[in-house]
Amino acid sequence: MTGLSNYKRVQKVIRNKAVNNKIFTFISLLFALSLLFSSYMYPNLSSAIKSKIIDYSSNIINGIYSPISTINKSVANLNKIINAYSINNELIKEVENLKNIYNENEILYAENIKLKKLLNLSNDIKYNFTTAKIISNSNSSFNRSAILKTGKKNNISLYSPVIYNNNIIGFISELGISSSRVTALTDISTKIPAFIPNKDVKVILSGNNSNYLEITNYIEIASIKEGDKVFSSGDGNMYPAGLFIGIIKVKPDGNVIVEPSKKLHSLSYVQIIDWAPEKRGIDINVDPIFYD
Amino acid sequence: MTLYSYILLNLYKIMPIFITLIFILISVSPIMPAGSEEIAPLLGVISLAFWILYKPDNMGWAALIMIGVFSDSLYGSVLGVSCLANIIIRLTIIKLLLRIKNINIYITLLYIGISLIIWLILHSLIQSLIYIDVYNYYTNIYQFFISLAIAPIIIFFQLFLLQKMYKS
Repeated sequence: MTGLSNYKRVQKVIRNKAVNNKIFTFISLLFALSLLFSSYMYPNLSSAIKSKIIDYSSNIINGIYSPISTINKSVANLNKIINAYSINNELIKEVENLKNIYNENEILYAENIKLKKLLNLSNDIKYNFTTAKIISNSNSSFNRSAILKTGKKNNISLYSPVIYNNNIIGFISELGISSSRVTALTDISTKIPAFIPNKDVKVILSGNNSNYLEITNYIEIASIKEGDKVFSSGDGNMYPAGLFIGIIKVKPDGNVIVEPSKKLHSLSYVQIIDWAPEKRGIDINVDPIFYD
Repeated sequence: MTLYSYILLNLYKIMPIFITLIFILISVSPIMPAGSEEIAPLLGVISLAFWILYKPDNMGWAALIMIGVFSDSLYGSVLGVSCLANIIIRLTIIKLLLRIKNINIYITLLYIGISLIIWLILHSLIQSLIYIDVYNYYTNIYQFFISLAIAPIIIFFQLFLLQKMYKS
């Protein structure tokens, strides 16, 4: 160890060479600080630099990510195989329940269509989506995001909502030519307007870099019960309405939090909704606010 | 001299930077079991601190800035935070190196611990400055301890590489 550390050599290098040069130290500190401040002053420039770096290194990232991901999934699958019997029993019970719910839903669906026709309600907005592969996770305590191998060349746009089987996951926060970054709902910078059906309660959910979402607006929580389902309300036009967000959980101290239905890190593929205003029929001349 | 031969001649000089970049790439891969991804060890920071400690001449300021920009791009953090953290880590390690008498595994682990604290505090500070009301600090603490627990494996692996470098 002492031979390897070559301690005397290291100290000699520090004393003699420009390693400990105060001018270089000052210049690099100044550069880092100016880079940091420019990120706040010009966020678009900072995003463009980051997107370019990810674009150029996306193939290498994918090359390292894929084999590690395969090993990780194999271990998870092995665990599932070991517990196959108990999982199967639970699934049989769940299928029985779902059959009953399905029958009820069919009646409700037919009734809903009839009522909509009677009220002459306009149809919901239909949207297309692009499927994207996750090539890297942020894996950090201060940020919840992932890199996707899909970019501008796949006709996706910045701030597009990202979903997985009608479960909302997050939004596109950085966009490169062949790659992009999806920021998860649980990230501290994400806020989403939501509602709880049958309770007539609208909430604003916020990520806090944990596995749960917090309710940030003041509401009467007495009516909210553990297990209530939370959906996106569509307010603000950032996300479509009616996408499933998660389930209400009550903490031991009485505070209410939301557990997201799908976690970004557990997925390999996600769907990016084409949510550009012009695709939703919003006219630039009538609603210029959407193009700000 | 061609570019290829120049790279070959300077391979040992760029080795620490290259290894650190690889470790950063590995740390953003699914190395943790499902549900605990947010406390994945910061392999890049461990590697960076190790090479500053053992090869400070090869871990120059320009290399630190390059590693920082790459790290910020991959983690999705604010551009410049990792650069600032790396520079402060180097500054601290160099200052401490001049005061100690010897380097051993415990000292290395101590320096890596200090580096992890600097890195995590800076990143958390930048985030919590904006969202102080909802910031969750517990994951930072867990990530620090997980990184410190994994650090000996990275240290021994890199010591092995260092041994190879000195032999050839």
